[in-house]
Amino acid sequence: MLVFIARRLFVSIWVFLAASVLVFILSTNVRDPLAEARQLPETARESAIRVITERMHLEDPVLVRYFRWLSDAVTGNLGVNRQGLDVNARLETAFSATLQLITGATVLAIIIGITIGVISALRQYSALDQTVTFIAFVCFSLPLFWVGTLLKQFLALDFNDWLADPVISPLFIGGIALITGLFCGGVVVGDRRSRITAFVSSTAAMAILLSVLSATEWFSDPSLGPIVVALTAIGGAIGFTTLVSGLEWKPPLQAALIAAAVGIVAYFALDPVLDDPQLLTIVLLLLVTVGICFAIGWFLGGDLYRRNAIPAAVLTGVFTGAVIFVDRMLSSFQSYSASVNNRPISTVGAETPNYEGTFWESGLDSFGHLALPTLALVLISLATYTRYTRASMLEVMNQDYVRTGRAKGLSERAVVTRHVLRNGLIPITTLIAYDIGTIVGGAVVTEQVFGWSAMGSMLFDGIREGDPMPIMAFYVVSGGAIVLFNMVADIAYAFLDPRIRLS
Amino acid sequence: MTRNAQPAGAETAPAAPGAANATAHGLTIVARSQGQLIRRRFFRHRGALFGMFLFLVVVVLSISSIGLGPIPGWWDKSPTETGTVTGGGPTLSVLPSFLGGGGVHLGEHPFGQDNIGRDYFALTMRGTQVSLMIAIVVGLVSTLVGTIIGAAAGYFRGWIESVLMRVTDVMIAIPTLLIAGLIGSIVADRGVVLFALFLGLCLWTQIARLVRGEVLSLREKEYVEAARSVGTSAGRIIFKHILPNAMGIIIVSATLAIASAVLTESALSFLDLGVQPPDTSLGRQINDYRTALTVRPWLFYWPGVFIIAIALSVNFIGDGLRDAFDPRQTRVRD
Amino acid sequence: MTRFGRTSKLVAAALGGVLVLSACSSSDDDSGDDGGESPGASGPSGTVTYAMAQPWQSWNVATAGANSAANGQVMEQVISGFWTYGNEDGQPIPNEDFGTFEKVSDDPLTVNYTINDAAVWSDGTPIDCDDILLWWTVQSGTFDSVFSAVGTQGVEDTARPECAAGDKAFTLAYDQPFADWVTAGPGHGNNAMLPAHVVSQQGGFGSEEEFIAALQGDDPAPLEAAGEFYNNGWLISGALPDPALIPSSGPYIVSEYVADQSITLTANPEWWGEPPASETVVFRTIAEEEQVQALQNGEVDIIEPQPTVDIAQQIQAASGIANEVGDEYTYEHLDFNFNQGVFADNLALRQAFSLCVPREQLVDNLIRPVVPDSTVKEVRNVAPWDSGYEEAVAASQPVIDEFGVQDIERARQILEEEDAVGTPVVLGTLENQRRVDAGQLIQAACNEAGFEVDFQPAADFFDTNGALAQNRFDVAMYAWAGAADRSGWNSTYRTVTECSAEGKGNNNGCYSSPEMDELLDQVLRTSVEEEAIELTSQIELLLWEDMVTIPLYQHPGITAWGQGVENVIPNPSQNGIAWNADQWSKS
Repeated sequence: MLVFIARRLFVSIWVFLAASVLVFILSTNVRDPLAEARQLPETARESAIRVITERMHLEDPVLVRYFRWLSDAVTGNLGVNRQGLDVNARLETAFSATLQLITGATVLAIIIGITIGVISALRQYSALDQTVTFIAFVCFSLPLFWVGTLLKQFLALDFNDWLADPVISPLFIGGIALITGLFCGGVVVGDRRSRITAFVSSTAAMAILLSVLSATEWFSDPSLGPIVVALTAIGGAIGFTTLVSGLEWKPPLQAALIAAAVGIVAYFALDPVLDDPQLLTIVLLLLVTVGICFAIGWFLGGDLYRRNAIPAAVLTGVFTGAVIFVDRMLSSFQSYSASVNNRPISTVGAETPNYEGTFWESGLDSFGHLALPTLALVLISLATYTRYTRASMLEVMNQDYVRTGRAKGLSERAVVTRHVLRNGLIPITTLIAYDIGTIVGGAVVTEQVFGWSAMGSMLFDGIREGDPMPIMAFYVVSGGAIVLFNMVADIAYAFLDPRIRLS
Repeated sequence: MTRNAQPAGAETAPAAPGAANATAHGLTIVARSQGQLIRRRFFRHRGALFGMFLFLVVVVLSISSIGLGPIPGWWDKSPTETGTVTGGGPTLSVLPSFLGGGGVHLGEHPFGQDNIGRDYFALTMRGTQVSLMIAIVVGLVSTLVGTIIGAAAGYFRGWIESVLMRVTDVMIAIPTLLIAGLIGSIVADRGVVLFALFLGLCLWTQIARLVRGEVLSLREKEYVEAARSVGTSAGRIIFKHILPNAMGIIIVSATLAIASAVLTESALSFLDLGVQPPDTSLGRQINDYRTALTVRPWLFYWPGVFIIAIALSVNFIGDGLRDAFDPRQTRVRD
Repeated sequence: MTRFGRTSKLVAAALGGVLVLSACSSSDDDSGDDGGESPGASGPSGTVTYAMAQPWQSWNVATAGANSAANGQVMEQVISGFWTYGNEDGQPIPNEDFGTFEKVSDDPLTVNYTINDAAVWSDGTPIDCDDILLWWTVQSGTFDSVFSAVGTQGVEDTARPECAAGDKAFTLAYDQPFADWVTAGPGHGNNAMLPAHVVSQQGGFGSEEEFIAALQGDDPAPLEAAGEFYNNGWLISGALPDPALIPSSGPYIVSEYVADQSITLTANPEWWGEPPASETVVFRTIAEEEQVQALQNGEVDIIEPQPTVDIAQQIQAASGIANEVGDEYTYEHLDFNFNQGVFADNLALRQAFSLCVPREQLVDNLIRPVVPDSTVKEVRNVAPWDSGYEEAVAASQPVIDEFGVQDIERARQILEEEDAVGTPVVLGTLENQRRVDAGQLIQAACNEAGFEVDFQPAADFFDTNGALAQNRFDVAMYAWAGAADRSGWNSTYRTVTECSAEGKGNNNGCYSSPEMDELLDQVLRTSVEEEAIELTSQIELLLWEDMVTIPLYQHPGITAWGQGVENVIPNPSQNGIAWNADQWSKS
């Protein structure tokens, strides 16, 4: 294995270097870096041209310039751009912005995509499956820049306008309720009657919920309140237990319910801490939660159910924590909104300049800026994961061991969670590893549309100015990520799949 | 390195072994029956039929309306003809008058007019033609290059494979938009065809990997062994025995390459690194009128609708073909 | 029951942990609840945000590499000088806060300058002799191997001002007349006066006197380190330089910078003039296409994008946004190639081409949707609001009437007379939406007249190997920046030494006329307004008679601001809107 990894690493480094030569040569040919200098008034022209020529070593042959770049780059110095500015500094801010943008979007796309894929595979050829497939194809065929512009108009400008007087029109309520109903009706297993029941009840529930929210103008000052938090926590406990072990055994359910109860108590007890916490406090609280829930599961599970009780309790605890977190965020919404002219969803950039507020308000500021680009990225990358998960799940569901599982009388839940999901998701992990490599380089269009000065603007500035340094910096990070994650995917695959010889 | 064992749409799995067995027995009869099977499966795929229909509509509409080259079209305005701006708004109406609409008619300028009075319907059709042309050229070039490289690497193995696959790895290491953007800003000034050719030369890696994987398994088959043992030349084996059996995967990849090329081209043109004026393309038009969304929305919407129509229809066709051929692969959007 | 007992213990333990945690961190009291805005009891308050498309790259705008509009916008309120471009008409206006100046003699041209006694850098150091000498050394090009400067025109003809440490007055004595003596003095942008005490300290000088002595000497060697800092030490690489290195001489100091996102200016506590209206001014870096939506969404307060027809209409259609449109100094024109090709030696063909160019239609389709009262540009080097505009138009009117108004029949007639119907013409330009639209209109009209126009918009039009530099055009369409100065356009029509990329300078068509060269010399050397106006009129007439270039239109400009924003006064100079940013306020 070690030999395999070492050899793979060696190859990767050469591949990376060879590609860098190609990129460098191309990037010295995109535009004339002296074009703007030539437009200067005569008096200024000569000195400007001289300065740029010297700074970019334009008189040297391309390969000399490449090796100068390379010898600097291996020491971690990516050079200066045409204006003489440090590229490392630019890369640092650009990369952190891009990272901020793609992390949430990728995680969301993976979670939602896999979930929808699983559901659609389990309900193969149902109306739900067909609809999901169709929507996935549409999303897959959307030009991002086009969608982005639409989102800005309708979800930022119009939504912010709407927030000023947050009354939902009856037509809209009806539409949303109907869609919810159709979805729930499609998901539910069972005969015609139970599906109709599900459809009617969920439609009605959604319609009532929306009407109440609309009538109370909840959207202008949203919060969940203790009752909703408590109900959600208990619901989460039951849900996670169902997933992890099923409801037929007591201890895991008890553990989860107690975890939820602790969470509800903490909702009140932690009030002063959560007024304006530091990020560190939140992280600590998360760790404490995991620790406590682990302990609850450990003790309540006993020797027999420990394996199920611990995950049930931990998942419930973290989920409850997340609900409390969301509740806090929502409670700060009104004050945040007021501090940005009552227009919380932003169309451009990564943050409000010089914003000062509580942890929650700053969090909302990031969220308001991330919302639209994340949505756009999720929309179009969702389809890949959905389709892939579905295919992978279907493949596994036709395997003999799944049939065997059913034949020996395992519950559907057990078959799905223990056999189908686990085996079906293995190939997806490799896909994800491979995909993550391309994400850094793939977000550039989104960044452009939403005015994020990140990796994309560094690249395009470089291309516009005929300046190889920013382009190479872009390549080092985005190409490096591809090479690295390709390697990781290969190694992981070799590791997970014993059929591959590690010679 | 090997990463070809990937899941596939399992719903058609039962049919495939039959086809594969048939291949092994006799060539002529089996070839036909396999073709029939594929056709039948394809035409049973509702999505594929829908895609086929939509694609034909787009192609026929764009070519017949303003014509192509010397062939005249039925639409009386050309995409280059400037004129007086008459309000600029679209005159297309689809709501019949008895429903309170303006009646079903195209009017003088169905999609409205642009800044300098050109007919936007004609312009959109021109953009559709260019985008389609680029996508198809990119699809063909990348498939050709990818197939040759993948087949050679998979068949010859040894140092040839090492070299070719390292070259592929090098191309993969460069993000699509980076290499396409660099190529675009170097060659896009010199015409649309050259731009499409070069774009195709950057985007073949996916296909090369898939074809290589397929060839790797096909070359171990008995009939290839047999051909080799009677001294058939390598070229003949590849072209007569291996590639025909890898055709499914090649055709499907080519289709999906076209779909992704439409989106790549439009993204590049949107970023001003693709098609340059006076040429136009759908992405170019969206870029030109991205600020028109609230004031002259028709200038922004129509090109987008056609991009989606092309990408969507080709994706559906690809999906249908994949189900029909049942190749063991899945798509990855880059 | 045992199990319950264990459970309650667990709950108790969990709560214990929670309470310990809350005890640890509840010491942070409830501060920071009032979202950042803290109206001070005295002094300016509030924030105004301006959207700028280009990133800020240097604190020193006066070096050759850093002379960009964006850098100038940011530094406009940070470094002040004796004058700045401003007001509605973009003329140079004196800044009495900084100091006063006065022309004391025309022959030889002599100008006396006095810096305000109260003027200090924001670190408390007085603005005085060392700053003056550093400014002069840089701008005159005396040690041009050490200090980088944008240009030296004007100042290079002056003698080194005499002063000693602490002096606040000096004299610039020119050894020949210079028309733009006002803007040659220490002012804004590339002519800014930078803090010499910082340069001196970074250059390793122990005292002001030592640095002054070095500047007054003949040897550039001791100034090497100072020059290195002057040229590169103020570049903005990811973060602001040490605050000690960037003292301000204007109403604001640069206080915060987030790379490629925003620059924050806060009021300079040491500012001796009238206090600025807002406590902070924020410059956000936002691409032009995104600016209108950002303004509509309240993320910025003031925008000034290059207006396409859609951007203008989008602004005008939006509610709650005030806007003002107007012409910019920048103007579009067509240049003929006098070096080679069909037009080089054929005045009649040039006139025919001028007759087919749809100047009125261009303005109608491309400019009036933005600036409704815009008109066709009739002369080149003076803008409608400059002095001498009417005179120049009046002088040129006969030629304009004959050849400057579209008349396709007449153009065709000339082509037939010249036996030149079907003459191929390469029309080159830089590729952007408005120029592509314009080019296609010209192409359509001139093809009708009998030319065969080959329209070639290109992204590399201005490149060293591009069409303009390499003479690969018959007609070139592009813009000149324009300004109130007369020295700015002087080289544009002057005979060149060699018609090559290196040799032709601004005279891209390589037009040559001894008569013109003579007039250009005269206009540069007069400091009398009436004379300059008369000479400019003669030049414009000659340009029309020889049909050197065809002026098309002033570039349109649009400025928009949100509700409650006050004192936004657009002006047509490149200096742009920031000229009075110290008066912006938002209620």
